[in-house]
Parts: sequence; C-alpha cells; structure tokens
Amino acid sequence: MVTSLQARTDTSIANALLRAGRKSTLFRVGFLIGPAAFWIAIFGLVPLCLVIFYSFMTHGEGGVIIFKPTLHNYIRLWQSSLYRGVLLDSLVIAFESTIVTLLLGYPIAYFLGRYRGRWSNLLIVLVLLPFWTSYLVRIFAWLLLLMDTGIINWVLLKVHLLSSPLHLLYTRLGVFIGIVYSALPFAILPIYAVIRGIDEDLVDAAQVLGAAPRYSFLEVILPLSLSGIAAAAVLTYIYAAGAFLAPAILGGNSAVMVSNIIIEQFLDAANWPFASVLTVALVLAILAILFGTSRFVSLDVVYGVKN
Amino acid sequence: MASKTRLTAPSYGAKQLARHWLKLVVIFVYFFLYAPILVLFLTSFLPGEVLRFPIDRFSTRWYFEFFHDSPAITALANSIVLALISSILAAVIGTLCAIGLVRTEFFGKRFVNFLVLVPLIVPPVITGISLVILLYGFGLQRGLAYLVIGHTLLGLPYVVVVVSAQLVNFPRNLEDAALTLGANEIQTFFEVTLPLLSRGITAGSMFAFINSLQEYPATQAWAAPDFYTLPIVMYNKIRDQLSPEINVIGVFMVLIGALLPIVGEYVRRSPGSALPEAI
Repeated sequence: MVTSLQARTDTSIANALLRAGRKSTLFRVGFLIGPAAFWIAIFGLVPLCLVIFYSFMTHGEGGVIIFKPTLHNYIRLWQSSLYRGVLLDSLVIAFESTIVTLLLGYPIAYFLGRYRGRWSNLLIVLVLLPFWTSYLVRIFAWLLLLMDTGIINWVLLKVHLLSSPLHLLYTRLGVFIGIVYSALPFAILPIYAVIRGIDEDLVDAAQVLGAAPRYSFLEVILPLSLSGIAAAAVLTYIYAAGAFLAPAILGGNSAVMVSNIIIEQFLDAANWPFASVLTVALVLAILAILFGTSRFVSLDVVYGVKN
Repeated sequence: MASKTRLTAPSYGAKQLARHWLKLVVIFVYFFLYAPILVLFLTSFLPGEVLRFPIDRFSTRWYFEFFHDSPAITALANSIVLALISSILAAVIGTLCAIGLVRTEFFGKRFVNFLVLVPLIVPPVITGISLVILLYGFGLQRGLAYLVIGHTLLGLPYVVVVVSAQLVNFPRNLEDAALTLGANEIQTFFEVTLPLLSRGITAGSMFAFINSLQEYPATQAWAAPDFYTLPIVMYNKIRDQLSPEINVIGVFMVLIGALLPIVGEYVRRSPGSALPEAI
C-alpha cells in the first residue's frame, strides 16, 4: 500500500519534471499555431475588414470601384424601403424560425438525453445524419414536397381536402419551413448534450421530495438545460439570418433574404460597395446576438470547444 | 435501482400521458427529418422529364443520363480533387493548431481560440464575397486557387475542434515513456502522438472533406467556368431546368454524406476520445 503510493508519487514527480522540460518556446508556439492563425487571419478576418473599407467606397460605372470615401451606400440602404425591408424581414424570419426550431428541437433533445435504451445510439445517429447531408440537397428535397405538382399537394388533392393545388413554393412559409428543417439538427445537439449531462440524482431527489413529474421537469431539468437552449438559439439564429439556399430555392422572388441580395449585388450587379454595406449590416446583427447572449453562454459552449 | 422505480410509481398516470405526447413529437420530428430525403430518393426513379407526382413507373433512366452528362461528371471529379486537397491542408495545419492550443501557453491564446471559430460563425455567403475582395486585389482570377484557400478556411475549425477535444484526454504518459526510453521529440511525435491522434484527425478532416464536397453559398463566389463543383451544377440545374437528374446528383451527395456520421460515431465511442457532442 505504502510502496505503491510511493511509486505513484515518484512517477508523478518524474512526469512533472518531464513536462517542465518541454518549454513553450516562442518558436514552438509559432510553428504550431502560426499556419492556422495566419490562414484564418489573412483569408478570414482581413477580408472582413476589407468589406468594411469597401462599404465606404464609391461604386463607379461597370463595377469599377472609385476609392473616394462616401456614406452614400449606407444612406442608400437606409432610404431604400426595398433593401431595408429585406434586411429587417430576414432578421424577423430568423427570429421566428429560431423559436419554432427550439420548440421542435427541445422535445427530441429531451427524449434523446433521458432515454437510455437499446435504440439510443441509433436515434442519435439519425439526428446527426441529415446534419452531414448537403443543405443544397435537403432544401431541394423540400422543393419536391412543396411544388404545385409536389407530394403535399398530390396527397391533399387525392383525399379531396383541396380542389386546386395550394401554392406553397415561392412563399415566405416555404422559406421558413426550409430554414427550420435545415437548422433542426444543430439546434437539437447542444440541448441534447446538456440534458445528457444532468445528474439523474437531482431528478430523483425532486421526485422523492414530492415533485410531480411536471414540476421536476419545470424546476430541475428546464433550468439546468438553459445553457443548451441558449447555444441552440444562437446557432439557429446565426444560420437563419445568413440563410442563402432556402430563400434562393424555396422563396423565389417573393421571399428574398439578405444573403440573396448580397450575392445579387456582388455577383450580378457587380456593386461591391453596396454588397459590402449589406454584409456589414448582417455581421452587426449577428454580433449583436452573440454579445447579447454572451452573458448566458460562452462561444466555447456554443461551438462545443472543451479545452 | 428498484427503489427508484418504486418512488416514481405514484405519478404513473401523468408520466405515461407525458410519455405518449413526447413520443408523438419525437416520431413527428424524425418523420419531418427523413420524409424529404425519402421523396428525393423516390423521385430520382421517375421516368419522364418532369418532376411530378404520382410516380407511376420506376426507371433508372436518369442515373444513366447523369453518367453521360459530361459537365456533371467533370464537376464531380473537380469536387473530389478540391475536397481532397483542402481537407488534407486543413488536417495538417489544423492538427498543429490544436496541439498548440491544448499544450502551450502563450499571449493571445484566447484570441486564437476565437479566431478558430470565425469561419464557423461568419455566414458562408460573407466568407465567400470577402475572400473574393481580398484575392481579387492580389490579381488572382477566380477558380481553383480561391476554392482551395476558401475550402481549407471553412474546414479548419472542424479539424481544430475535433482534434483538440481528443488531445484533452490524451495519455501523455505514453509520450513520457518514449522520451524516457531515448526517443527524441520528433520521433515521439510521429511514432506516439500522431498514431494516437489519428482517429480525431481522420474524423476532423472527414468533416472538412464533406463540407468541401457539398458547400454552395460561398463556393458560388469562388468557382469559375473553368473550375466548378458538383453543387454548382446542381444549383444551376435547379434554377434553369428541373429534371430528375437533379435528384440523382442529390442521391449521390446524400450517400457520400451518410458515411460520415458512421465514422464520427466510431470515433466518439472510441476510448480516450472526448469528441464534443455539439459537433
């Protein structure tokens, strides 16, 4: 007993000495961190700063950028009811779809987190599977469901609930469904992870002390899963506010979102300054949400970083 | 165990009711998740030119059409080459970065932790156009260079997050043993550290690979007529002319993506790994 303790202490001292020997020299840090930090800073962060710079530049004929500072692009966004409307509506759609995604995602996350049966691993894989299926493919699949000759209309006409097809495609509802559908898996996962980690004894304690199941849920599980809900809400909102494919494929011209007009202004109209203004507006909307929720939940929790 | 069951027994009725309600929602959500993909599969076997219901006859016509559609096949080959290059790049520099973040202390570590998440937070459309603004300034033309740089950027966070999760529970005493037994640091890294991390690196770079293969919103800004990817072809077909061939492309992309969670689950369950469950 004493000798094994002695031996263990000896090894841990040896380990400590070995670890102290590996110094974090500047060279080592630079070699390890350098390439990735460089890549993301130069190709991810610097371009964002360039976007801010371009948003103050003048748009010339044929997509030429005149390097003369102006507020014109910002004023244009503010004055144009069309663009301002699209921007605000994107944030509203993002908010609505976040709420609905959470309402659909919570029960299933709760179920997956509490259920410890034969099928639990399979059920989790089934939630992960669409997560790694292309957004483009999944949004296109909804086109097959929503179109006038699609399966939903076919079923509704077949059972005589409708006499003529319901127009679901190229509507705001269609875009909304597409966003909720594609956001659902990554709203489920953070809540699931938190509920899975809740100590079973706490729930038992509540019930031993006389709490009905409803109360042990409301007073124990729900408050403890708030950090997961916040993480899920942030992820869903950011995804939804920047959604491109759902409005492009399911919205047509009747439900355009801000990402679509950014691409349209950038690629088709070749108006980089105005595309930059719209980008700045979208990034600000996302940052506002990140800072607003950072009181409740840290970025590390949101993106699952554990170190 | 038995006592727990007894204690919850009095509220059996209410609990049962809640269970049924919960079961209904769970079934609905799984149906909601899978019905569209099932419809995608079924309509890929439509015989005609038009996407419509009901399906009166099944045919593999569009699978043959796809293999004779040379732009689509070129795009598929391009996509695979691009995904390979960018996921390998992301695997190498992402693994180094994960080791640095978990094992070294330095000024600005919090900033680097944040930096790694930037490509995940910024909507891909924004990553797309802002990288074009930068690289166009360097005089580069859109195409392969943009795509390699961009897809590596988008893949990096996956590698860093997954590998650093595995590093947290890493059995460092094995490295100590190698060093004590006379291996130098480089030998230790290649013969002990790297093999032990291989599952995390594989999973992380698989995420990066699949992401590259399927990415559209940023890719549309980077691709060029002389180098385009499969999602570009699929999107253009959706925009121009709907046909069951789009479903065939979709079926292939679903099948490739479906392999991934299987690998991920294999890694997550392996001893010594702590793959974050949110990824």
